[in-house]
Order: sequence, then structure tokens, then C-alpha cells
Amino acid sequence: MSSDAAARAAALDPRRSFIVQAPAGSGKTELLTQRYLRLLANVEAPEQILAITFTRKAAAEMRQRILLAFAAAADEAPQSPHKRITWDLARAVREKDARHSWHLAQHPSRLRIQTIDALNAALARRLPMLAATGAALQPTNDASPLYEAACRGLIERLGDGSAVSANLEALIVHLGNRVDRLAELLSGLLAKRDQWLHPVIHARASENLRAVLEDTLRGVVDRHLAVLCKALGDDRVGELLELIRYSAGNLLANDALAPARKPLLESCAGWSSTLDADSRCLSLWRGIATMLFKQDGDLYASVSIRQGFPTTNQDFKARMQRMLKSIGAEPFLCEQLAGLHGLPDVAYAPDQWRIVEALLEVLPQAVAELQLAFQSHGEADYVEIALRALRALGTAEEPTDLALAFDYRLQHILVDEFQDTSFAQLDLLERLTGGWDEGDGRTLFCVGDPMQSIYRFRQAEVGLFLELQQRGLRNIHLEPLRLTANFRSAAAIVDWLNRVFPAVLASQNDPEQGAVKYSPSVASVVDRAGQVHVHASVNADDATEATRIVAIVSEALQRDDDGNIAILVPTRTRVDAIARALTLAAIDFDAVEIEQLRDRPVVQDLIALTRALVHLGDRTAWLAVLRAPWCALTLADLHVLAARDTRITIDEALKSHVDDLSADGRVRAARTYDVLSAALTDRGRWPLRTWVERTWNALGGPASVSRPQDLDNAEAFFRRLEEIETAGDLEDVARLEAQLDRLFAHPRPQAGARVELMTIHAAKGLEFDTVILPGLHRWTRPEDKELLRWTRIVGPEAGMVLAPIKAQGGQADSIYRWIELLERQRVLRERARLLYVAATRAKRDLHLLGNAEAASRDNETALREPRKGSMLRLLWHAVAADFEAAAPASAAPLTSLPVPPQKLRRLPVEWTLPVLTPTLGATSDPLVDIAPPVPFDWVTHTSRHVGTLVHRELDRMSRTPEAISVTTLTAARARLAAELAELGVPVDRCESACDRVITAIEQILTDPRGRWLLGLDRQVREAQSELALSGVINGRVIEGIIDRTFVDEHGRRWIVDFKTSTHEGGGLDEFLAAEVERYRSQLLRYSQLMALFKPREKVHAALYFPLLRIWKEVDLGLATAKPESKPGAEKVPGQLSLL
Amino acid sequence: MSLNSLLDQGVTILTASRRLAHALKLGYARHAQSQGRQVWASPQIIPWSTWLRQMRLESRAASTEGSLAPVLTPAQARIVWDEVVGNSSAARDLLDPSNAARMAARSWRRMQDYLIPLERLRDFDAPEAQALHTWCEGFLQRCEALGAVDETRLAQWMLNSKFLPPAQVALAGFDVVPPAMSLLVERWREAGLIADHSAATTATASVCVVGAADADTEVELAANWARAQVERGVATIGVILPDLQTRREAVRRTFEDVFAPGSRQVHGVPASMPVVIAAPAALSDYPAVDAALLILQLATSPRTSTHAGRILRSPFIAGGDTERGKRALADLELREQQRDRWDWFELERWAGMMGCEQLQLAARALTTLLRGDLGPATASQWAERFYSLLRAIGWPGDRKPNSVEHQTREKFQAALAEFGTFDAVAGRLTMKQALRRLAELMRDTPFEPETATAAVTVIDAATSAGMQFDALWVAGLDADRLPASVSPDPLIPLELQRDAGLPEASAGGVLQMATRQLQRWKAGNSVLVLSWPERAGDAEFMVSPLLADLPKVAADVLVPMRTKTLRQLAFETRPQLTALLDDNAPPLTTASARGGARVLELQSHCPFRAQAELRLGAAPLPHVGLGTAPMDRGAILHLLLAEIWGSLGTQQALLAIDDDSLAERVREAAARHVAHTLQPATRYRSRLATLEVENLVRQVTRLLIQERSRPPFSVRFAETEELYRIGGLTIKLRPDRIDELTDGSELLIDYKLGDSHQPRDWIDVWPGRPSRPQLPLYGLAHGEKLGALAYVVLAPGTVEYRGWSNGVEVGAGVSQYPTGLRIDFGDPQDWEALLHQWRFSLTRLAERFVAGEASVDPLPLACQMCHLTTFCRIHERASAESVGESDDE
Ligand code: SF4
Repeated sequence: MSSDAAARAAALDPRRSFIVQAPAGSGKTELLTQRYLRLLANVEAPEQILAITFTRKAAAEMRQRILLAFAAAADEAPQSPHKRITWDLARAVREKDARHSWHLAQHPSRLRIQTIDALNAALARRLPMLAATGAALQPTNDASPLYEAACRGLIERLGDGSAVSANLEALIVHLGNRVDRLAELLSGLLAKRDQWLHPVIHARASENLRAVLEDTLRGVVDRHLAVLCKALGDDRVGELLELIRYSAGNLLANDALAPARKPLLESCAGWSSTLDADSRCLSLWRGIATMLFKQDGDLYASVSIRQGFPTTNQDFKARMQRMLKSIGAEPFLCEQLAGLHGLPDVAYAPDQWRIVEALLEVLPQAVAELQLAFQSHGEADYVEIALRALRALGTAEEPTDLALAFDYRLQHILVDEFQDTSFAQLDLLERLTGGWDEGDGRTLFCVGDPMQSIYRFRQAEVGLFLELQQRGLRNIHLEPLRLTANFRSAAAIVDWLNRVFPAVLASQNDPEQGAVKYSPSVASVVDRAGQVHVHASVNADDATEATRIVAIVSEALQRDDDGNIAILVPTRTRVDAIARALTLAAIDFDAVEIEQLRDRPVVQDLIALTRALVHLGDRTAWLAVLRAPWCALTLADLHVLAARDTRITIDEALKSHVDDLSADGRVRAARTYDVLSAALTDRGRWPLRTWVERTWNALGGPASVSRPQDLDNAEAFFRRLEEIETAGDLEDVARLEAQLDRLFAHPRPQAGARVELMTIHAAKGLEFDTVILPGLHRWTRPEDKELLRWTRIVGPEAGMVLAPIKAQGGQADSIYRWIELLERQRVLRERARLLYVAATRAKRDLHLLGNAEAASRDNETALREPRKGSMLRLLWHAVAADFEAAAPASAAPLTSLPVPPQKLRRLPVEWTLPVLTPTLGATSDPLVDIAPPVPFDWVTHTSRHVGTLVHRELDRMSRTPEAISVTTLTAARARLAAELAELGVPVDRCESACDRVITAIEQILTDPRGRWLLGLDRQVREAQSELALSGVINGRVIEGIIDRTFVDEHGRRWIVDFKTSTHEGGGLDEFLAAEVERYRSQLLRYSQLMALFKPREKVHAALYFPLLRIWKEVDLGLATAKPESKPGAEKVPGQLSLL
Repeated sequence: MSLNSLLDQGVTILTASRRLAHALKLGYARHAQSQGRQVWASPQIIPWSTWLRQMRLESRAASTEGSLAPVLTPAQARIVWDEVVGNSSAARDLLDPSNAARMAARSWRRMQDYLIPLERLRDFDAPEAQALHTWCEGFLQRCEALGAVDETRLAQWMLNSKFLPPAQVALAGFDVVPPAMSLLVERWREAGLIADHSAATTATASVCVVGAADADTEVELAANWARAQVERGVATIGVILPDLQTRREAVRRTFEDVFAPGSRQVHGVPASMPVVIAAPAALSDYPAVDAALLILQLATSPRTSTHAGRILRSPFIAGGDTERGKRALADLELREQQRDRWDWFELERWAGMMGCEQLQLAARALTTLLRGDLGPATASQWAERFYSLLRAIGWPGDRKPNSVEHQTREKFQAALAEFGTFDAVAGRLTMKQALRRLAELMRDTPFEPETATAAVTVIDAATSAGMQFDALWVAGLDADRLPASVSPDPLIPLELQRDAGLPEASAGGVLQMATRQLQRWKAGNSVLVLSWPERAGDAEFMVSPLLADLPKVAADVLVPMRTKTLRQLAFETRPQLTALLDDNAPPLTTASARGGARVLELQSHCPFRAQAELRLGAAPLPHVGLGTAPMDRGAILHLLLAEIWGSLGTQQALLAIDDDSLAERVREAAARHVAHTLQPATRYRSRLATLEVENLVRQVTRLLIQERSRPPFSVRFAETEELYRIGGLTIKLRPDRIDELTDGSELLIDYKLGDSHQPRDWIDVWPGRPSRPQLPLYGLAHGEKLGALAYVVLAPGTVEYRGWSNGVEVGAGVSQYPTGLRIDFGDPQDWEALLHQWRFSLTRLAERFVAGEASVDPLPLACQMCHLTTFCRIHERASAESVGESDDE
């Protein structure tokens, strides 16, 4: 504690900005929490502080800590002075809270602690115009279809005569006409356009781009040469010049010289000026490097005529030997000289330049196409949201008024995990702090550990941390602080780290190379036992290693009851052997996002089933479904079904050939087909996921898996399926498997096994009692080719270098290769940091497992140095001895055991679905009857609305009988037309519809029957229009609206429905009969309601057709039957339903 | 007084939502029945917005002076907003103008509700405020031009016109009463036209707070709890879930799992459970509607092969069921042909070719219509046109519709009718515009098939406002969500929002809303469970601080019994699987096989694959790519070279012809073969074809120039078929080319487009298993005469021979075996040994193929290039799947 007391105290000063380097286990979160509390006490509103975390988890944790501290401050002050600091800080916040009525305790979401993604999304959402989004963007987890759509859109422009088309063509030709490859490479670039978009647009805009780029290149080369010359000293430079001239001359004299080597040698031999630290001498320098180094990069130990030093001139040969010796003595110099090979040309070759230009044209267009794809799909990727957020913030020079986005003026920003910041995020930070002035009370606080920067694949640039440490952020001076205490690991581990890691990490910080120097820790938990164990093996295979791991795990499990154990791997590949061994040993473990689910048998079965259901023509999938455990037909049976005719679907073959199968096969096929054919008739009735799931359940899918986790794996598959389906179908079934890429299992929260198998990345921020690092000897493949590579040169001569991919089948380009090497260098550096992260997860025991290869030569076993790029190589200086000790006297070569033949796993033929908890029945049946469909046309539609309006008018008239007259109605024509339009009658039909309304009402008013109905001439009793009744019929609540009801002069209760249908031509009787039938059940229902409403009255029902002047009484046969006993065969259109 | 007693008195209730109106009606029905009534006058319960429109209508009918302007429907207003925003300069840069229009409409509504005058926006120079100002002005102007008003202004109209309701009204479900409304209410209250009701009649009997492991578990718990309540006879049960709209299907499944576990399989009766999930999906998400849009889109402009494929596989088209097999094969074939542009005319032709008669007929009916007049027309005309196109193709299919499908169809037609009302605001539209508007409308139309009234209602918090339940579970109450974070309107300046009192715009407002909501829950329901998810992913949550003082209960105590899902139970009761060794297909009965030399290659790569692919026809599903398919490219190259050499015949002839005429000949032939094979149907494909020709000319010329420097040879025949018998199998061989060399021996040539092909692949990888046995097989077939074998590689940047000979001089790239090679232990030591190995290995492979040997035994890396993993089940090997099974003999 004491080691950091001063730094920790300083970090709480709310007026100063800091950048804190906090190694693993140094109590970083606590420091952040304390500062946050300190700042809270200093602001007007909590919203004025913004804390940015790397994960949602970290955000949640930080918020929780703050709230706990806040709550605890209500109690007595704690005894421990250490806790007292936090208590004091929180106490001050409580006072502030009370004074300003923040209600923080009730409203913790006021604390603005969020991930960068969430911040971006909030900015884009809150500033839709500045961000030019127009609305909140829906981020998608899988944007690849969008990229593909964009590339397709772009490529479809070929041949349209535009400049883009011409440039696109250049690219296609460059890639050997591989359009799909171009699309793939473009997609890759689109996914990280946040890195190149601005530079590319900037580059396009610059007039003499080529000169600028070549200047930058020249700067790179010159700087390298300057360093080199300084290290060499003038004497040796002069000597080298003489040596190269001499040897080149000799080599040229040789007739057998490979023609490819000639030009370089000629330029060397004929060199007439001096050798300087100048890019113009680059070819000569390269010649010198060739002279000094072997193909494999080692310095020549001796030279002969083959290097151009014949024995005829012993003097030169001796001079050369001296030179080699003196250089060999200086590793730094060696490195610099060897680096000559990697240096880029300082000019672009014409072909390459043409491609650079083409790319600069095409890439912005690709982005434009992408925006169109976003528009038409209604979603965007996270990159877009980040870009939009940046845009919303304006420029660092002209920042947006942030009060718009943050409700309050932003006072303080805290950034966690700063080592994993990308250029784009740095941009964001620069703009957020754009208007800040030194001493205006606003502060920035960055915390992180460059040694733990491991997110290159998310564009983290560790160099930025180092830069900020040195120079601060634009106009903000950042005071560097460094923590050293380690509150996590046992002293033995901390000591080991301090001893071993200085050599694993770099000796110097180098932002450009991404190199970070080791910063030692002080063990601060004194009483924790534990140590580092090296398990060296030689010429062993994965299975052996897995066995070893099982032993370590078992022992650790036994040793105590609650210690947790993590097996950490750098990449997800190759964990199968470990998982299998643990399963066999019956050790319960959680695999955290580590198993590619696509490869799990349960998911394979589901893939087959999905494809088969979606596409009947997918033979492979159908055969796979028949081969899966639930059916498991033999090859003989499959043969009967599939080999005869490959031009019919298996579905049809099953139908027609099932009788030809073996007895067992017949039962199995029938059972499966029964399910599949039922499923097929259901196509388009379920969401795809549900459809597949129902089928899988019926087939016995869940009964044929072997591990409980497989149910979770199936669930993960189903979820992905849900994400990618469109309306119960797949866009393209052939892409299903590709869309399942990177699908991982998420253990359910309640799982909680003591052993976890996860990637090092996933373990970031966690700690375990025992940490096991297997497979240290493995290396990773270098990154894929990119269509365009670029790198930013940091530092005073900052600039940008771009290089396009080499032509398909063409020569590698030196500029491209230089960037690639630089990247590879950075990858290697990160690998070392990954190892640091892994090792520092351990509290007590750290187990290192690796394998070295040994070869026997002349009865002696020699260990081969581990492969470059492997972690074991990085540790080799510390562990080589262990491996030497483990090496057997004579090494047997690796042999793998023969694989036992694969057997067909089958669900027993008699299997049936288990009996389930009974369904809890619904209270009543669905309400809807399936009437034959009425076709859609405006005539039918309009006449319905005419009817509605007629009712409405009659209702109005009946309320004010004195106003009844056709003239008033005709006067209201405009109003009627408006009402018809509002009801949904197309404008150009309103006039004629209006006529019909008026006619209908006229007819009623002139028809004696109509007048009677309306009670105009004779008095009728209890007349009501649009009477809405509800009641219970056959145990169900129904509602009806009765057009017209009254009791006539004979005491009869009438229920009348108005129908404004018209009918032309013959067959009027049939028409009327049909209408009666059509409305019979409705009238019946009304009558039943009425019978309940007026139990003593006898109900009569009728239809009235004013336009036809026809009155049609309907006999409902109600005379004797009581309503309740009437069978409610017909279903009621759901009046009680939502419209 | 309670709501129901107000209703008894005939008071009209105005609700915040349609759904609440529905719920209150049901509540009243229960109330009436509980009083022993069998019939009653339907209560007047109307959503506020509907009522406003009604009152407007009535006022208009009653008014004597000039008629009141009509009110736009929400869909019509949306069109107007869309136009106004879409045509504005402010929207020119926007990624999503259409959503911006939506947002503007929402802000506009808020401004009306909160009485924020439009002019106030002028005082702010934030681009958001300015854009909103322009848009709103544009909207008003447009409304004026149309002579219409929008719904949001009706309250204002009532205020201005001093409107009084015809009878007493009461309000229900308004958690927040915005000022525009409260002004009205105050005025009406003074006039005695507001009936007040006390919401809280039932005091909550029990409240508890429960933590669930995560959000999914939370739903599971709630569903099990609800089931227990139903079993106990509780009449109304509510479950309030956050984000219900997005989780709808997952929630539905969970409730099915709990209420009707047995129904979750194809033979299960689709669950009729006493649960209503109150979250409508978009109409366009229903498969039948989606199919309708696909059909119309294809009628509007050419579409991709995947689009055509989806139509082919759709059950919503005439004959979709009876012809399903044929149509699936038709889809397969169109993928095979790499055709990526389709319209209905093409599809009609295709259907005919593929024997899908019903489809052909229907498509013909449709294309007949397409030939008719489809020029610009009004929306209502388009509605009819679209409908007749759909009828022509037999939409929605001839399967007997179930209830949902029936209702979907009706809703679709209703939406078409609504589309007709766009006449008033949209003018004449082209087919494309009309279809886009229609698709938008379908997306904006929420639709939820009707179900029976049910005891359990699953609903989201906003929609549930005003509802009361006998038992209520509210989920998702973690500290981040209750109270929520402040979320002001993005377009209206914050200052205006705060002044106007928009609760979402300030921390105080949000906190107050949350407290009030919690009180409402506590007051209205006799049993109340409040739950929160303890974590999401790996992030831990905290319970909402507002629940701090309420009693906690553990999940297991509250929900002691959980229904087992079908999946769980089937797993738990799973039988022991049996295992059967089954790695032999029936022996081949005919002695020939399809596939030529590929038979042996596949048998060598993996016996299972050979049997599956060649005998069972387990082909990969083709994917239509963007560029020229490698298969096509190969085919063109072969055709081209066969033609060239067919006409040249000898190297002498090649030497005799001058460069220009050679190039001319190559170019002419290349263009012809490219055009014939690729048949480009679109502009970009033609352009690609041209590039293809260029490329071919370049490479082939380069090759021919190399051929000139070889020792003399003549091409004996090119691209002809030979039969060869080996290991009991007759194989058809098609060597790309056979050169006769000066010494009379033969050089067999195979053209390869990939740079990766190496003669090394001719040697066994494992004993008896070479990875590329094709050329060796040809070599064996040529027995005595064989002098050399070579790949001719024509890859970008590389055009060269790669081969081995018995020592005969062939030219650059073909050397005598094994000169210059690193021969591993076990590799053949000389040419003779090489031939011997080939004979031995290939014969054995052939024999095994004939015998039906089908073990899953791939060469290293073979699986990476194979599509059969699901069928061969190779992944079972890598996982611990084989543990504990009994053998089955
Ligand atoms: S995936 Fe592998 S094992 Fe399966 S058939 Fe193909 S090559 Fe054979």
C-alpha cells in the first residue's frame, strides 16, 4: 500500500488531469471509484461527469461500487484508515446530494458510466441532425450481409461508364478477375472503415498526394538510415562501401549468376558517390544487407567466393571477416542492418500507384453503397454509430456545444482501460475535450496498463497510451502516475513476473512498434502462498497435455474446497482435446464462449434439419437428417432411397420407396417421415426458429444429445436462427453455415462450475486461485491479406502510408510488405502482453504447459528452440532449463494413435416422446370463424362505407326528428363526401358514393316501410338506433350493435339490419336468399341479446334494403327455443376485439 | 366511485389506449356478470384519440357554418411528414430521412401536447431545433394545402372552439396528463362534465420483490407463477415485461413451455393457452404478407436468384404444396446455372422448363397482367392492381388457411384499403413508388391475430397503464430501468422541454414518473410481485433502489414448482443410444460410375465422401456468386484450348502462325466461348465477361508462346473421352490434352486454374491414398506410351508447366522424376516405382469404391474442402460424444 500512497493521493485532486499506469492487481477500480466520488462532490449535477469503461460489466461494477460507498457513508465511519478514505469521499457526496436534491440513491442511472459503444449510441441518438443519422440507428451484431450488399451494389455499377466503374475494373484485373475475392476484401475493409475513411477522404482531397506519401516514406527510410549510420560510425560506413563494390564486382563476373540478382549488384558495383544516410542510397544499403546476412537472417560467420570474396584476395576477405565480427558484436546494429531488407521503396511503382488511385476512388463509393444498404435494411453497424457520434461532436477546433448532448456542461471525463484505445476513440476523446482550456477546472483521467493492451483486433493502439503519457492530449496536460502494488498474486508469482517479464516485453517503450517496457510490481499480499510451476514436455501430443491438465485440475480441486481454477488459452482453436479430457474425467467445467458451436454434433444436426426443412432440394441436408441419431438409417437403407434417382427429392423418395427398406429401416424412416411431413405442411406458419424447434423436439433431438450443455448449445443455435430468419424463411439457405460462424455457447448464469475454460481475452479483469496456461508452444497464423494496408506514422514527422495488395500472382510490393512487417512486429509484441495478462490472473498457482520438439542426431537429442511467435519462445530464456531436464535421452518421433472406426449413434427404435405436464386449457376457443374470403375491390369496400354513413345519418336524424329532410341532406353533400373520405373511400369514388347515401336515405324517407321503421308516420315504441348490447350467450360475452330496434303497433319487438347493397339484373331472389343466409347468424345473436334484454317480448328480425326498397323478414326459429340452449355453432366475429 | 359504477351510470370513459378500452370492457363484463346480469347496455369506453375524431365529426355535422377540415389518419399524416422531411434540404445528408420523419412527427405531437409554440424553436440555433422548425412549418403548409388537419391538433381545436362533451366523461389510464389535455379537463370539470373515479379500490394484499438470475429466467419464473395463479383460480393475471415488443416470440415460447409443454412439437396442437401476449408484430413479418411483397417486388423490377428461390419455395402461391418438390429442384437448378437476375417472365419460362406446370400457369396469368397498363396511378388504383396480381399468382396459396392465416389475409386486405386512402395525400405513383409505400404501410401496421379472452395478459409497462389485475408480476426492475435514465426528445431544445414540463426530459421528472408508476402497481392489484434480473451477460445488475423497502423473497420460495419443458424432459428421460458400425454401402452393381476420375480422387480423400457424393447424390447446395464461377471459368478455358489445338494440331502449325493472327484467333474463340458459357444477362455481368475474355487472351497467348519453345510435339487429340477399366471399375477419362512427343511417347496434360497444384500431390499421402490421382490415372491408362504428366497452370501471374517425366525431353517445368525433388522416406524412388505405386494405389481405390467402402476416414485437411460434415458426422469424433454407449449388433 505504502508504495502507492502518494500516487493514489495525488490522483484524487479534482483540478488536475492524469494518466495512470496501473499494472495487474494494483487496485485500479478502487482508485477510479474514489476519484469519481471526489469529483461528484465537486460538480453541480452528477451528469457532468462521464466515465467510459471498456465493457458493460465494468460499467456495472463501477456504478455498484460508487453506490455501495454512497450507502455506506450513511453509517458510522469505518475503523480501517484505508476504507476511511472512501467513506470520507462518499460522505461529502451525500452532503452534496442532499443540498442539491440529486436523489442519487433513488436514481442511480444519473451516474453517467458507460461503454464507448453506449456513449456513441447516445450521442448519435441525441444529436440526430449533427450526426446526420436522422434517427436512432439500430446496431446489428452481424453486419456482414450489409457489407455484402454494399459490395454487390458497387460491383453492379461495372460497365456504367463512370469513373468508379473504370477504377473498379482496375481492381478486378489486379486481383486476377476474382470478383468474389474483391468483394470479400472490400467487406473486410468496410468493417473497419473507421480507421481509413478519414485518411482516405483526406488523401483524395490532397493535391499532390503521391508526393506527400512518398515524402513520408522517405522520412521513414531516412530516419532508419540515420540511426544506422550513427551506430556504424563513418569508418565502417566507408569500409562497407568498399566491400560491397568489391564483392559485387566479383559476383558479376560469375556467369552462373541468377539474372534476377544482376540489377542490384550492378548498381552496387558501379556506385560512384558516397554512401549516406539518404534514401537515394537505399539500393546500395540493401546490397550491403545481402552481403552481410544469410537468407535466414543470420549474419555470415565466414565468407567465400560465393559471397564475392575469393581466396585470391586475402586482404579483402580479411577485411570482410573483421567487419562481420565487429558488427556481430553489436546486437542493436545487427538489428538495424537486418531491418534494411524490410525498408520500403520510397516511390510507388506505376502499377501500384494506379491501384492506390483506384482504391481512393472506389473506397468512398463502397462506403456510399454501404449507407444505402443501411437505409434499406434499417440497421447499421457499430462502426457507423461511432462515426456518426464523432461527426456529431464537430471537430476538435470547432466542437459542438456538448450541453446539447449531455444536458449539462461536461466537467470531468474518466477513461478506464485506456491502453485499449483506438485512433477513432482517441478522436472522440479529443472532440469531447475540444473546447477545454488549461485550468478551467475540467479534467481528464485516463487509467490503464499498457502491458495489458491486448485488443489489437479491435484496433487498440497501445502506442496511444505511451504517447499520451509523454505528451498529453492536445490541449490537456496529463500528469503521469504509476502504481506498483500488486494486491492479487502471491509473492512468488510477483517475483517471477519481475524476473522474467522484462525480457518478455520490450526493453524500451516504442509507440510505433507497439512495444511496452515492463513495469515491475511490489507484492502486497504477504501471506499468500503459491508459486509458478513449469510443466515441460518434449515430443508430446495434445492428448498428453490434456491428461496433464486433468491431473493439475484434480489436484487443485482436492486441495481446497472453494478455490477456482481457470484454464486460459490464447485462441479458441484446439480446446477440444482439453474439453474432452475434462469430460471423460467427469470434471464439471464451464466453457466460456470458447467452443465453436457450429462444430458441435447437436448443432450440426440442427443445421441439417433447418436446411432440409427450408429447402427440399438440399439432398445433403436430407440425407444428414436421415443419418442423425433420431433416424440413423444405415448406408444400405439410404442407398435404397437415394441412389436410384437423384432427380427427385428425398422427401418424395421417402414417400415412394419406404417399403423397400429393411425392417428396422422402415420403422425408423416412417417415424421420421411422419414428423417431417407434418412439419412441411406447416411451412410458413411459424417463425423459422419455432418451426425447426418443434420438428427437432418431435424427432427426438433433445433425447439424442449427450451433455446437458448441448441443450444450451441448441438454444444458442436457435437464437442465432431467430436473428437471421426472414418471415419464417432464410434469405439464402446456402449461407446458413457461414452465418453460424463465431457462435459460442453462453453458460447459463446458475451454472457456476469451479473450473473454467476460456480465452485469455475473456479472463481479462478476472482473477483465479489457480491458472493453467496450456499449449504455450503454439503459434498463431499471420493475419490475412488486406486489400489496402495503411499505417499512421506517429511522432513529429507524422504521416500516413498506404499500400495496396499486390497483384494476384505478382511480385510482393516493398511498401505493402513493410507495413505488413510492422504489423507483424506489433502482433508479436501483443502476444507478449497477452502472456502477461494470462500470467497475472493467478492469485496462488500458475501452471505453464508447453511442448518442445527434440530431434535425435548422432545419438544426441537436441531441443529445437520453440517457434517464433509462440509464447514458449518468449519465455524460453526462463524455462529452457526445465525443458532440457525433461528431454529424454533419445527422442521418439511423434506418432499419433490410429483413430477407431466411427460408429453410427442411434436412438432406440422404440423411443417415443415423454409424457408431459398437462396443458392448462384456455378459457374459451378462438373467436374467429373462417369465412370464405371476400375479394378485395373498391366496389364492395365502398358500399360498406356507404352503409356506415347511412346508419350514421339515420341515427343523427332519429335524434333530431324535426330536422329530417332530404334537402338538408343534399345541402350537407360536402360534409358527407368528407366523411366518406375519412372512412376510407378513395377520393374519386366519393361523389358517387355520396349519391348512393343520399339516394338510400331518400328511398327510406319515401318508402312507407322506411318511414315506419324510423317511426316517422306512426308512433312506434322504444325505438333505438345503434343500440349496443352486451351479454352472455353460451357462456361467452358477446357484443352487438343493433341498427334499429323498436316495438311496433302490434307489440312486436323488431330487430332490423340495414343493408345498402344493390343488385342489378336477374336472380334477385337468389341474391336475397344469400344475403339472408349471410346475416342469419348475426341476427340470431342480436335476437338472443334482445331476448335477454327484454325477456317478455317476442323478437322478430328483418333485413331492410333501402336501395332496393326490399324488406325481408328473417325467421330465426326462436319462437320456442330459449337462447341459452341454442347450440352456439357459429362463431362470433370478435366485436370485443381490437380493431 | 369506481370505474364500473360510473359505467353503470352511463358515463363515457376515455382511455389512453385501445387496449385499455378493451380491457376495461372485459372488466365491466365481469362486473356485470358478478351482479348476476346476463345482458347489459355495452359500456361506452373509447380511446381518447378515437373520441376526439368522433366529436369532430359530430361537431361538423351539427355546425351550420362552413365545414370543419377533415382529419388525416395517422398513416396519411405519415406520408405527409415523409414528403416534407424527405424533400427538405436539412434531410439531404441524413442516413435515414424516413425515420427522421417519424421522429419529427413525434416531436410535433409532443409540442402540441405540451403547448410548445412553434415560434419558440426559432430562438435556438441547434441544427436539431432548426430542422424541426422547418419541418413543422412545412407540415403545416402541406396540411393547409390539403385542407386537412392532423390528429395532434384536435385537442387544440377543442380548446379554441370551447368544445364541451355532450355528456359526462371520465379518463382512464393517463399516467401523465399533458397540459393540452389537462386544460380541457379542467374546463370540463368546471362545467361538471368530468366524472372522477378513484383508481385504488383494492389495497394490495401482498407485495414481494424477487431477483431472477437473468432476464430469461425472469420470464420463466413469471410464467410458472402465472400458471400457478391460474390453477388457483385467480381471474385476471398480469405479467409486465420490459422490451416485450422485441422479445415477443421468446416470451411466447416460454409461456407455451410452461402452460402447454406438450404442444411444442409438430404433432402438438398449437397451444390454446389462457395467455394473451399483448405485443403485435408488424404485418409485414407474417409469412403470407412477406410472400405477397416478394411477389409484387419481382413484378416491379428484376431480382436476385435468392429472391426467385424464395418465391419458388413459397407455400403461398398456387400449387405451392403439390409442386413443392419440383419447385425446390427448380431453385436448385437456377443456383446451378448461376443466373442472378430474375423477373416473372423468366420465372414463367423456368417453371415450364422445370416441369412446374401450376406455377407456369399462374405465372402466365400474372405476366399477362404485367403486359397490361401499369403506368402511374393513384394509390387506390394500385391497391386493386396489386390485389389482382396477387390473385393471378394464386396468393395466398391453396392450403386450407388456419385461423391466423385467415385473419392475416383479412388484415392484409384492410391494409390495402387503407393504402387506398393515400389518394388524398399522395397523388399518382409509379409502380415502384406505390410498392414502396405499401411495404412501408405493412411494416407500420401492427397486427396481432385475435385470440380468446384469457386469464393471463403479458404486456409492457406503457401499454398496461390503467389496467388492473388480481395478481400482477412486473419484471425488469433493476436500478438502470427504474427509474430510467433521462431521455429527452432529441429535436426539441432541452430548455423548452424542461419549461414545458416534459417528464422524460429531467431527472426529477423521470424519478417522479417511476415513483408514481410503482404506486399505481402497488395500489391496483391485490397480489404483486416485482422482479429484477440479477445479471445480463457478465454484467451484474442491482435491484431498483425504489424497491429497497419492500419484502424480498427467494425465487425458489415464490415459485417452488417449475414446469419441465419438453426439451428438458426428453433429455432427462433419454435412453442410452446404441452404436452401430456401418461403414459399408452396398457394393456397386454396375461396373461403371458417374464422376470419371473424380471417383478415385474422392475415394482417396475420404471413402464416405465418395459414396455419399457419387452414389447418393449428396451434392453441395450451390451459391450464386457475384463474379464468374470457377467452374465456368474452367469450362471456358478447356473449350478454348481444345478448339485452338484442335485446329492447330501440331507445334509446327503453332510456330508457323504469326503472333497477330494467333492473338486474333485466341480472342475470337475466347469471346465466343465466354459469351456462350456465361450468357451475361446484366450490364455488370457483360462487363465481367469482357474482362474474362481479356484475361483468357492474356494467359492463353502467354501459354502458347511458351509452347513454341518446347521440343516438337503434336497434339494427338484434345478433350475426347476414353474408357479405362481398373479394379473392377470402368471409368470415363477425359484428359485435357495428349501430346505426342518426338520419341513417340505421350505427355498427358491437365489444365489448372489454381496456383496451388503441384505434381507432389500425385504421390500417396497415406499408403494407398494420393490426394490428386487424376493425372496418374490417365497415365496408367496410357500405359506403355506414357512419357510424362504435367499440369499446365494458368493462374494470375503464373502460366507454366509443372510435371514429371520418365526422362523424355518435354520442356521447362517438366523434369525427370525424381530429379530435383526431396524424396521422403517411403516415396517411390524412381519412375518405375512411381508407376507401380500408382497402379497399386489406384487399383485398390477402385476396388474399394466398387465394394462400397464408406468409412469416415478423411485425409488430413480433406474436411476443410468438404460440405458433408452434417452427413458423415465427423464432428462426433472430436467431441466426447462416444462416451458410454452400448453396441448394437
Ligand atoms: S467432412 Fe471430412 S469426413 Fe466427412 S465426408 Fe467430408 S471429408 Fe469425409
